Amino acid sequence: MRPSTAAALTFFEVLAARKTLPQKIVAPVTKNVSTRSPCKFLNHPARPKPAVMVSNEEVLAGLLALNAALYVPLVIAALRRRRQKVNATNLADAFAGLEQALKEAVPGLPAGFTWEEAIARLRSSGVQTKGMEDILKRYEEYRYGGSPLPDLDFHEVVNLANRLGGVTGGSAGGASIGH
Amino acid sequence: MGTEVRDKVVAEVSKVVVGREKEIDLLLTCLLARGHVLLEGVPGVSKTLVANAFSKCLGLQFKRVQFTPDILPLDIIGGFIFNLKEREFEFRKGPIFTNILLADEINRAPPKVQSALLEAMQELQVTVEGRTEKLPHPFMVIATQNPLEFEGVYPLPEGQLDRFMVKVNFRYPTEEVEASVLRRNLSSIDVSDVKTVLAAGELDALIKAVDNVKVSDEVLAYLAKVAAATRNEGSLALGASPRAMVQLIHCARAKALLAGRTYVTPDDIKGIANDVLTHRLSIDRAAALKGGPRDTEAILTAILDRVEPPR
Repeated sequence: MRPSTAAALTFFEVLAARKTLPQKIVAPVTKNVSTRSPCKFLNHPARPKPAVMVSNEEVLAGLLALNAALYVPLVIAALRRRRQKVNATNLADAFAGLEQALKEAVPGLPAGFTWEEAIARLRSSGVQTKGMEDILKRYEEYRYGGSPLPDLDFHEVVNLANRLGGVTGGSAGGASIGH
Repeated sequence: MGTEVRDKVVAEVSKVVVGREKEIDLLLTCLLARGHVLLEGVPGVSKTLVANAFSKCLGLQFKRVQFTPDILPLDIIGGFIFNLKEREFEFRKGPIFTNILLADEINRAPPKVQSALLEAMQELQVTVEGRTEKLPHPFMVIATQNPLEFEGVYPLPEGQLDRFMVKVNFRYPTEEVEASVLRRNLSSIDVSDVKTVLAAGELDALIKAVDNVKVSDEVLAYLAKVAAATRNEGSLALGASPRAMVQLIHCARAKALLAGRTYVTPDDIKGIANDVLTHRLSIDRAAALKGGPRDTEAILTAILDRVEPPR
C-alpha cells in the first residue's frame, strides 16, 4: 500500500469515527433560579393604607347597579323604538315616513338614492317588499306625472317603514310619525 | 306601447347578436330622442352587426361608410356632377341621405370630414354650394370608433363629442356570452334573418310620443343640481354643458316612454346619465396627478349618489 493511500484511508476512518459521535450534546437541565424578585417595583415597600373591608355582596350589588344604570336606558330606548309606528293619513305621508325609515335603517344608502334603488337594496337584503311595486308606480304617477294623489290602500308602505324600525320626526305634509 | 316595441326590437336584433340587449335598448332610446350614437370598442365586438341588424328590424334605410384618412366630405354628403346629357350640373346625393348612417371608424377620417358630418347631424340638412337638402326623417348617425390608444386616428374633439347624444361602450362579452357567440357562429349568421318588427308609421308615432312625456319641475331642478355638481367637481376640468343636459332630458323621456310611462322619474335620469354625460366630461389632469380619480364614469356615479333627487 502506498503511503498516500494509507494516509487517505486513515483520514476517512477518523472522519467516520467522528460522525458516529453524538451530534447533540445534551446539557444537564438546570433551573434558572434567581434570588432577585422578577419585578423590581414589587420590592417597593407597601404604603400603609387604612384597611377597608368590602364584602363580596357589596361588590356584587355595586356592579349590578352600575350595569342597570348603563343598560336599562338602552333597553328602554330600543323597546320604544320598536313600538314606534309610522302613522300616515295618505300615500304621500306614508312614503315620507318610508324615506325617513330608509335613511336611518339602511346603512350605506347614498343620499342620492331613488325609490327603485332603495327597494332593490331592501329586496337584496332579504326584506319582503311584496306589493310595493304597484303602489310605488301609482305614487310616482302622482309625484312626477301630475296625477291626483291616488286613494289606495298604502298599508304595505307603512308596514315596510315599521318593519325598518319606524322613525321619529321628519314628516312631510302633516305625516304623523312617532306615536 | 313603448315597452312592447322595445321588447320586440331587442328580441329581433338578438337573433343575430348575443348579449347586447343593453346596447340595443340604448340605440332605440337614442333614435326616439332624435340623437346620434357613438359606439366605442375594440375591433370585433359586433358594433357594425348591431347597427345593421337594428336598422333592418326597424325597417329603416341603412348605409355604411368606412371612414379612411383619404376620405373627402364629398364622399359622404354628395356634390354637383355635370350631366352630359342634360348639359348641366346636378346634385348627386351622398350616402348621408339615409335613415341610419353607420360611420364606421369615424376617428380614422380627417377633422374636415368629421366636421362636415357632424354639421349635418346638428342641422339635419346639408348645404352644398348654396343648395340646401333636408335629410330623411328619422335620421341617426351611428358612429363607431376604436379606443384612442390605437395608431392612425384623429380623436374627436370635445365640441364634436358633445354632438353625440350617447356613447355606448362595447366591452368584451362575458365568458357565458362568448360561449353563446361561438356556438351561434358554428352556423352562418345572416342579417337578412332579421325581420322588420314595426308597422309603417309606428316609429314616427313613438318619436312624436316622446314629446308628450312629462317632466316635472322638481325633476328639472334635480337635473340642474346634477349639472352644477359636475361643473363644481374638483376632479373634472369640464362639466356637463347645457346642451348635454338638454340631451339627457330628451333621452330620459324616451327611456320613460320605452318603460311604458308618460312621465320621467329620477330613476330614468340616473339610469341614462352615465351613457349621455361621461363622454362629455373631462378629467382635470392636475387633480388626477395628485391622486384624484381618472374615471369620468366613477366621478359621475359619485355625483349622482350625492345629489338628492325628488322623492
